[in-house]
Amino acid sequence: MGKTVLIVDDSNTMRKIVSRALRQAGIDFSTILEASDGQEALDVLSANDVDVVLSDINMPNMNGLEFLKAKSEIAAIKDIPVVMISTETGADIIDEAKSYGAKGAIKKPFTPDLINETLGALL
Amino acid sequence: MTQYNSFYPAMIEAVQQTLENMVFMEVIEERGTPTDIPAAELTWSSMLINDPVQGEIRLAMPAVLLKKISGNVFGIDEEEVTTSQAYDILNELLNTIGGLFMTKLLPNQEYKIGLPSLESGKLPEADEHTVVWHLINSDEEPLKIYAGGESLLTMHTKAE
Repeated sequence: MGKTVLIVDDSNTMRKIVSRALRQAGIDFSTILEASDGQEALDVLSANDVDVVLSDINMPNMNGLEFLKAKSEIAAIKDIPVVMISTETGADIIDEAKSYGAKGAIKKPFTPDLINETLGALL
Repeated sequence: MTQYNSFYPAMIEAVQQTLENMVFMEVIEERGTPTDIPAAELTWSSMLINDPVQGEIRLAMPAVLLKKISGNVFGIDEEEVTTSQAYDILNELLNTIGGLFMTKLLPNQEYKIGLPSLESGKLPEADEHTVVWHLINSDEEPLKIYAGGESLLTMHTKAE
């Protein structure tokens, strides 16, 4: 049965780029959901069965780190794995994301192979 | 002593990796006299580098090429691409190129970059503190990237 993935990014363009890379990654995703910030992502997670989340870090309203922190406090969704996608590579911000439960990080520009490798280990 | 990656090839690699991975377009450095992009056909975006060096990076290409790239990303005919979609693509490309460029210049170091912003009109004249890369795709359509600012260009000096 195909998996459901949620892409969280304030840029519609970036969501389309990630979505296309997901389709090319060779993982059987039956549903690709989208959210434009952390708050919207929490709403989507609460209303859908999502297998994995790919999230940007820098977003308005609720950024990726705030999203991780808020998600970790909601029992029904706290165990859904999240992988961060960002241009930022600073160890501090990645460590902070992991301390809030992120399972990994993918740096832009990513390839479908890298997505397959990273998400495949989580699904 | 800190060893920096070479400034000039770092940008070429950053542009090539970004365009190939994000929009499936291969580019190479243009040889000979660079192809001019008339101001009326030009689309460009700029982004500041804030820390640990300061400077500016600009990405410029013909509007028609940007529409073609955008059509590929959104899976629609280029005639259907809206101006907003095209500008989003340009800004995302510059953001990713800038981040990758800084990562190549300063591996394992933190850096701060600004948000890309769309610019209009003619590009500022390149001065002695500006490096310009002239690139072309397989259809020989030109795109150019500029890195400017005395502080940023000190990295160029250190790489030589």
